[in-house]
Amino acid sequence: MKDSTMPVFAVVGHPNKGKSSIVATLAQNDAVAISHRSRTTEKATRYTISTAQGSYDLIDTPGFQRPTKVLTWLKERCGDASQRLATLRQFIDDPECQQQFPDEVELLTPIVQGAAILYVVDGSRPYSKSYETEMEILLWTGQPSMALINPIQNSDFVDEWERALHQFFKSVTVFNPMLADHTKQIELLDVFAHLNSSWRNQLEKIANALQENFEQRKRNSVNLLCRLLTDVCTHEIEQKVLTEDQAKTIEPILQKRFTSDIKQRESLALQELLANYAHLNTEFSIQQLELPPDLFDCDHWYAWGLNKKQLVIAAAVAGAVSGAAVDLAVAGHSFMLGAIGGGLLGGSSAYFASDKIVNLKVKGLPLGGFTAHYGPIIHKNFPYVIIGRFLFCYQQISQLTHADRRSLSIHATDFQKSIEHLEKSQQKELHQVCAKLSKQRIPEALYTALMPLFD
Amino acid sequence: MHCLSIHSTTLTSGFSPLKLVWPIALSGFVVGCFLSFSIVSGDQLGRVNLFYLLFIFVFIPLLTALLSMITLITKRGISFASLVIKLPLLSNAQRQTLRQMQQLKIDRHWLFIQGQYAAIFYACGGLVTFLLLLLGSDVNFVWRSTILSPEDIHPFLKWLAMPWQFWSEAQPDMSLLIATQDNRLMVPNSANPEFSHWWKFILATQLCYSLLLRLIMILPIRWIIAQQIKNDFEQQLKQTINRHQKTPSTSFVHADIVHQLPNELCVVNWAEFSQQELSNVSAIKNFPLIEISDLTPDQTERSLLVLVKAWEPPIGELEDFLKEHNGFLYPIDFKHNNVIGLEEKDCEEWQRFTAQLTQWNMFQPPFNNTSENSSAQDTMS
Repeated sequence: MKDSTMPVFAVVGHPNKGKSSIVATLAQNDAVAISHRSRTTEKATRYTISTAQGSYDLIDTPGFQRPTKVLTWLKERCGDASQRLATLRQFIDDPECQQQFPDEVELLTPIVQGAAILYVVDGSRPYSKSYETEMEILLWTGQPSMALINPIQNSDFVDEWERALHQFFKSVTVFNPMLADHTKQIELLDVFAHLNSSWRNQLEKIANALQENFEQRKRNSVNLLCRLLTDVCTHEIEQKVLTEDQAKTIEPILQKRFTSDIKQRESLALQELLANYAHLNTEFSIQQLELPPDLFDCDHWYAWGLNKKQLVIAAAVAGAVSGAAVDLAVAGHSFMLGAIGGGLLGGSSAYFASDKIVNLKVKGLPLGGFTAHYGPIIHKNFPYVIIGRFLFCYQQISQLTHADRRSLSIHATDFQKSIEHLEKSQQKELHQVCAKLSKQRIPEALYTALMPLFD
Repeated sequence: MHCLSIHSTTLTSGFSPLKLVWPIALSGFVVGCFLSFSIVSGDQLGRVNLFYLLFIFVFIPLLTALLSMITLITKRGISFASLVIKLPLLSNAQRQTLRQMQQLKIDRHWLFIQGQYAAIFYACGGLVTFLLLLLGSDVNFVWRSTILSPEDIHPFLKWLAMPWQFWSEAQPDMSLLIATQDNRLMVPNSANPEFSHWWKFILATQLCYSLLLRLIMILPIRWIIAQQIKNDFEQQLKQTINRHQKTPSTSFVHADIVHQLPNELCVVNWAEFSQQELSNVSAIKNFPLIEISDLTPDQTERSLLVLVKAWEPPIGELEDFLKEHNGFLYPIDFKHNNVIGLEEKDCEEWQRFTAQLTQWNMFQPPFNNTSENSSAQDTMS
């Protein structure tokens, strides 16, 4: 059961004038069906816009199909203005009307039940008298209402529409769901707040919560970039093989895999960025990231897959632990010489004997071999490239409305301009974190260095 | 020919925390074994100082538990596990997972858990050694003190034994405490069987303060880790993406467009175009124009040419009217009162609509003079 004090708006109008687009943008929901085909919306569908501070409902409705006949039906059964709402109730409850005028019954039902009216028209096409029948029916409901002029292709007829709509609605606003960024959406919510005084407080709170949501999404975007940078800048793959020749043979395989890993990781980050802005149906293509050459390397490994450094450390630790055990067994009378001596002995043995271990065989299997490495990318420009590409996507996605269903194309981009807008100290911090990333160190100040780029 | 599988860190797979790091566990076990052995093996007479045992089985575990809690809460301090993972022994995949844990802010919790594992294995090492020595050796538990009397110690031991009050045999006994007080100047009384009676108390302290305490400490932190992962924004985004199912696109039938009209037709101005607009529509000049209200029964049998606004989608009222007649639908678009070719989306919309009407065709004159027209023609063809 819905809370009766919750603001509810029914988005109504002629077919194919962008009602669903407006609902999709305001509900930030790209699952709302939109197409150039009329009658895409056949049933009134309720979308709840929930925030931490409250929620409101938008009802996407089918367009008017038989307004003249409906108005005639209503007029035939209504004596005076006081009976209009009752006649409308009679209309929506009448089984015959439900069969003859299913679209009008669908769209009028939520309004009769208390929803405010958002009447949508196309400002790029001329006004005509035929719309007046629809507006007259809406007047019969007596519900708070406003008109939204959606300039679908251009604004050529907006003035004409404004003049006409003001005859029927107190509030007329131009709202383009394809271009309305979050500020415009919140501004529209402020206008909604004036339609019904009992909803004002709640809608103002929701507007504040939506603003906070937007900020949170921005923070999440920065975090996504931090994680992407950390992952791709430190990524490396390796394969242990027996001979150096084998290592060189698999270089193309490693290269292919490495490139694919980086591409997939970047795609995932973009998918998550889209999901962060609730764009789950948006398709995108990414221009291939060009990786620097010379990422292949090959070195020895020794016993148990450890390289020389690891082997020495492991042996030193093992020696020190064994020596410490001896120290404990003699209740500390050895003055920790056991641990120190054990560590030194283990470490030095591993250091000097490692070259011999590599040639040893156990049951015909060699104890040592080679490791083919691919990555990490140490080129100092690499973090900038990743940041630039991500930032380009962020700028597109954060402005993309949920009515806009085009697919995105991500190109390599120079984000020099974004950096130039930063203060000197911020630029310095960014350069420092990028320098650390190119050395596979994770800077603690990564988030704070990247945040100004998103402002 | 070698079949190679490339091992690399998966950058895009779902996150699962690193499992137990065995060097940490092994180190704990070894230290537990050796410490326990060095204390429980005692002197030449097999005498083991009860206080030393309490030191390694109660004091050290409690102190390290406290330290690890402080490290977890204050985010400062050095833990055994953090030292071990700083050694360059972890694989690429493990290092990657560690970085992910830092991103998820569960690295401290994970290190805390590793510390608890080390302590648990320390307790296991101690317990195993203790039990083996009890089995294979005569262990005589005694206590010595210069300043403490049995009356001073007994309340402390009773307090320690509170968690296992149900186990009466493992409770410290005053008479046992008096009987097992030792002094190195006294001649050892090796025949005293009470020296061995402390083993149940010692075993209970190990089980309680070394083992059970750490197991209990692990549980809430594991829950916190699970919650942290669950609430992480990126994990939630991944779940949203995985749950999402794309809606399949639907296809529609489009009616063909005719470019020729029969010689006899009545034109119906459904769109209510003005006379000025109509004067620019050359395709209707040879046909009579009638109003809808003027349609007579005999005219309803004649084919009609219904003029509609191309940019206004067809509505039910038009459909109702068309179902009672037959003929041609002529969607017209204007720009500055001049007839122009239809936009692709408008054209398709009318084609879809006409395809549903059995007795109707969609008409468009053969445009060829503007780019808009030619694009419309391309679509139509």
